[in-house]
Amino acid sequence: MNYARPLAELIAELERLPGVGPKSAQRLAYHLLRVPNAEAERLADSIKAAKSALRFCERCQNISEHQLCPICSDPKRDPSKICVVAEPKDIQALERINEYHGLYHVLHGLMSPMDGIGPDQLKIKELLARFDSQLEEVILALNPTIEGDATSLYLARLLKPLGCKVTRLAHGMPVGGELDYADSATLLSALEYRREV
Amino acid sequence: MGFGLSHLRLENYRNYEHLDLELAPGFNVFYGRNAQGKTNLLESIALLSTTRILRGKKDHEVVRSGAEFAFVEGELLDGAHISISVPLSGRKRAALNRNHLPRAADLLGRLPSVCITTEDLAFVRGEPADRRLALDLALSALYPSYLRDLTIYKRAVEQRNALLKERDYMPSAAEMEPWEIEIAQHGSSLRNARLQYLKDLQPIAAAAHEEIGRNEHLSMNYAPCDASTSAEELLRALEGARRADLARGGTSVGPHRDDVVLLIDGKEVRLFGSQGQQRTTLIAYQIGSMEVASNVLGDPPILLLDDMLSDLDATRRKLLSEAVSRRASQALLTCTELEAVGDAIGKVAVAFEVEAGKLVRRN
Ligand SMILES: [Zn+2]
Repeated sequence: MNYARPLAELIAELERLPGVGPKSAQRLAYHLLRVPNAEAERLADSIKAAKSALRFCERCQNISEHQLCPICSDPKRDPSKICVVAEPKDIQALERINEYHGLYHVLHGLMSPMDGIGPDQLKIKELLARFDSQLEEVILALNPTIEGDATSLYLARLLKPLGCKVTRLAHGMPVGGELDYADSATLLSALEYRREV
Repeated sequence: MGFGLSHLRLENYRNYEHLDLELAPGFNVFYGRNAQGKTNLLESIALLSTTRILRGKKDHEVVRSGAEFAFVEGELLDGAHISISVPLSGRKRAALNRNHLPRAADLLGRLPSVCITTEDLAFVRGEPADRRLALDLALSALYPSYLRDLTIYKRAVEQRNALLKERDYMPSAAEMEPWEIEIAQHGSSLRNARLQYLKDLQPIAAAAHEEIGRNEHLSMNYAPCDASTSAEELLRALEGARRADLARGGTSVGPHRDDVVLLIDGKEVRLFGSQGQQRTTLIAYQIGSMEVASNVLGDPPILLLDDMLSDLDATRRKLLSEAVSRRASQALLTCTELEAVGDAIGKVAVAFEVEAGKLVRRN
């Protein structure tokens, strides 16, 4: 199809976003052309503002407005624990339960050679740099996928010799889930990680 | 009670626009000329059972032309409903009692089946990959843990291969290790499950073969590509193969390279067996797999026998028909002539004539 050049460029840019295919990119582009100028400019401005105002927290690598994110700069957080997650959104999930009061570290992905992601593409050096005498436990809270497991294995081998406890989240049945409808993978791992009552 | 179907419903499945079929708890024979839809019927049940259609075909091929999706629903003997819908594009979805399941594979184990078709001759005549596929399908249907091991194993091998491909230097051991540990853990489970399966199956298949194969001795041996059986040994084998694997750009040890060797009186059936011997070997293997499945599940699986009887000589046909009638609880058979099923089955079976996607009960 022959688009006017600015439109073609807009579609091409939208297509680069994760989860956006050619069809959605086209739909979004036409939508943006139809909305009032002020609305489109608000979107453009907020993208620019976010990009210039936000950066990675220099300690935990979470997205932050300042050099240190609110969690890292909170003196009430327990510095003896670091919980390692793959993505910033995983921190939101863990914070919602109000149970964990340690610090975090965001890897920004999981190892996956098929996608060209090795240890060097993740924020692992930055994690090692955080090791000090007050650190007692590193909790690996990565997705129970094969990439999550492999990354956990890699990190465990790397971290254990540094002399701190390394733990990982248990996986099992969702609370309120019915046995009969649980997918077999969940059921299997729930069985594997069963405990005495 | 055994595993089976009391009712089958098809919507827009191949040449069936709509079908509602009451099935007998024992033997059901579907006969008629070729290309009328007999095989499609069995295929739809195999899909319910295994969540996949026969090898070499794409899921969306089952959607009747002009329709958006195909739908198969079965009522099990205990009254539960299982169904699969296959869209023209996108993922198929499975449901249990009309509640969607997280993944289609979660249907596995609800309707265990043994399916024997002439295409399965690839197990005897084909490549090692054909034999591995047959074992993988049979074991996945019996043990959900096997399917999980298989899925993780394949992915871990792909990830390790990605590290080895298009590189002229060796990736660090630390980078290889996590994938090798996954491969070793799940690969050794796969290999041991296959070894045990064939060990259980071998004597049954050999006995069945003596019945139908004129006293010739059949043996089937699992042939692993390396000697490791424990995770520890497989891990060492993977480490030892790193240099060679870098050169070939792929993983050379593990159960994805194993085979099954089939011998009649010591000669390899794939290379030296006659057409008749290849057929009796397949039937003996399938009778064995049916009996192993019955032992594991506690009840016989549903048996799907597609057009296997017509090409056999009268003696073998009679022996097969007797062997099947002794072991199966519910069985669905197809043939061109009703007489081909033989007396042992013919006397007790419900017969349907199939013509152009329509079924008429004949007794
Ligand atoms: Zn921070």
